Amino acid sequence: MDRFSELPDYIIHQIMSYLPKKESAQTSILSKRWEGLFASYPILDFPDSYTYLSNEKYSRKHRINKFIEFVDASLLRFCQQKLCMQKFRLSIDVLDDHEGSFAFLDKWIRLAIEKKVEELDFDVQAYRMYTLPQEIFLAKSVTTLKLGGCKLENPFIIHSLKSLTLKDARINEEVLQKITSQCTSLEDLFLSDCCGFTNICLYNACKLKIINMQKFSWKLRSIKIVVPSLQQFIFDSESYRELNIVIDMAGCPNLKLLKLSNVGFTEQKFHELISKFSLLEDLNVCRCDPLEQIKISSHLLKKFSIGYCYGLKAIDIDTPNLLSFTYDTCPIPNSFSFDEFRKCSPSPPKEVGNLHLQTDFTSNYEAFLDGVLSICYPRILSVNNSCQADCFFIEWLYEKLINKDDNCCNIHDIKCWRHYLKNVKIESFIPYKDKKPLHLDSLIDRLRELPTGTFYFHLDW
Amino acid sequence: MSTPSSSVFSYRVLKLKSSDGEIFEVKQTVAVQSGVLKQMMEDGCTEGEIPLNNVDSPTLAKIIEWCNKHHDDDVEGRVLSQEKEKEKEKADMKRWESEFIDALNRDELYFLLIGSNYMNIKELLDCAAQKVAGMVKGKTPEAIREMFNIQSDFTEEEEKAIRKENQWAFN
Repeated sequence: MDRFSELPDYIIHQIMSYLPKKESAQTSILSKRWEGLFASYPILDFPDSYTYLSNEKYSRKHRINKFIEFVDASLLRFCQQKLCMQKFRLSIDVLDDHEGSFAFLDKWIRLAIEKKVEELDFDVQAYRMYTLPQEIFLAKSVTTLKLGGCKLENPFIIHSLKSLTLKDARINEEVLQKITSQCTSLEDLFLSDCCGFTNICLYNACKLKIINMQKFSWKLRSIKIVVPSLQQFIFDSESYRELNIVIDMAGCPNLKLLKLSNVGFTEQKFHELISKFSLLEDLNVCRCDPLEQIKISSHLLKKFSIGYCYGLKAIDIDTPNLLSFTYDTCPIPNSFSFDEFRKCSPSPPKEVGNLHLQTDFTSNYEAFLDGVLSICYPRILSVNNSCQADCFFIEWLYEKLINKDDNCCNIHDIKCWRHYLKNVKIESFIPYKDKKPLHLDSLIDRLRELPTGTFYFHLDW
Repeated sequence: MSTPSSSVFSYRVLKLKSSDGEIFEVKQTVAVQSGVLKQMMEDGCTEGEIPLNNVDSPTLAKIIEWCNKHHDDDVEGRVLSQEKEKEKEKADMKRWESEFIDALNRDELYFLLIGSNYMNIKELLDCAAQKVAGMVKGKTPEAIREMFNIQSDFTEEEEKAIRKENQWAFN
């Protein structure tokens, strides 16, 4: 019996949402019931014009016109139903027929708003920018609004709006400030490639939790945020050179996550900024070359990641509750003196759960290993095996750990890691592809036959 | 579940009555995963037996098995595990979910969809819907008709018209 066709519409729509667009449209031919189900499917998703009429031998212009006809017909068909629209997503390249196409875009936004759309995702590629129609003011039900390639000339007030994304949009600072303070439910703000800003200032946004800003031009001078509810701030200028800007976030004392990339910070500015966030749990600093020293002291910090900071010379971390630390593609000293290290960092190493090491040809292995094992004693030590240099390192490492010569610091009171390492064994090898671990005693002998993957050593301290 | 209201529910149990009259006892902290039961708890009307007229006992047993697996009664007290362990936990859960769903026959899957929708358990409904989508994926309309026993009630002309209207999907 035809059981699945008897499921309530809502469940079948749920099933459709997991099908590729094309296949969900094909279900319309199964039977009249299914035709109706497809017509009432509340997610109207038109990701891009080319997937639609791609097989035809028509010109691009003709295909776009066909696409516009198709979207128009689909929308009108949905609008005949007495249903609310869950989502309307459109990505369109209108080529040169601006007036004609823009009239359709205006009409579709109007229809979607009439049908109480919850999520509106509009991405318009056009030589001349598309200006969002004033009707957007009437949207009472939109919770998620994503706009790409649009111009926003006037601020809008949408009380239901929770998430706003502006990509490659033209908007000035004033309009942005008004939108964020007037849309009183706004929680997430994502800006990317919006070139009209020099000084961004956000305040009076009472529920804003996440701000994510990507790709800014060199014109950006300053960001000032006074949003006490803010929990996450992610900023990546993505510019070819580091952006030298002033970030003032003294008004965000509840920040938990901070990610900064491509910012031309001086040490003083950096430390001044992070000193404002006493509740910070996750800090990620990437591609900030001018930074030479980082000093962090926090009882709450759980995750700390530094990457591609080529100017770095010293890091001082006092974070007893840290769970994860990543140090990626930053300078590694070429020499290491245990005595000197102990003088300036007298606390003994702590045991940690997992330590993952990755090297390159230029590393001085000896100094690298001594340095790392003077800071912490890992229970699991993992190393990638993906190229010949990795093989050399793994063999070298295994040899060092197994045949450790501990006649090194007998006359000193404080001894190096060699005196504390009790036992080493190869825990497993996990190839990248199948994720199933290999357990073999002779793994190290077969190193060169193994596929690419990760080696795990188990260390007893 | 780590909903703010879950802490006040403590360890009391709810008595759920399936459509065929069987009684199932479920901890409140587990039952809170059902939107419907959560609402009833918040409204304070969970005294006595709660009749679930759309869910038979084999289906309810499956639903409770799912909820038991997915609930976490001591979120606050648990030591924050390492990222890696968390990832592993997530992967283990995913595996358990797909084994759970794959073990069902078509009838069981059908009633599970109805039951999880009725009790408003979003994650279970999503998981079951995804399973059905997986069964449909890659099949021709003819094969789908056969699998679900759907009789086409279109005339030849009507079918042609639909194909033309949705040309992009059928080429």
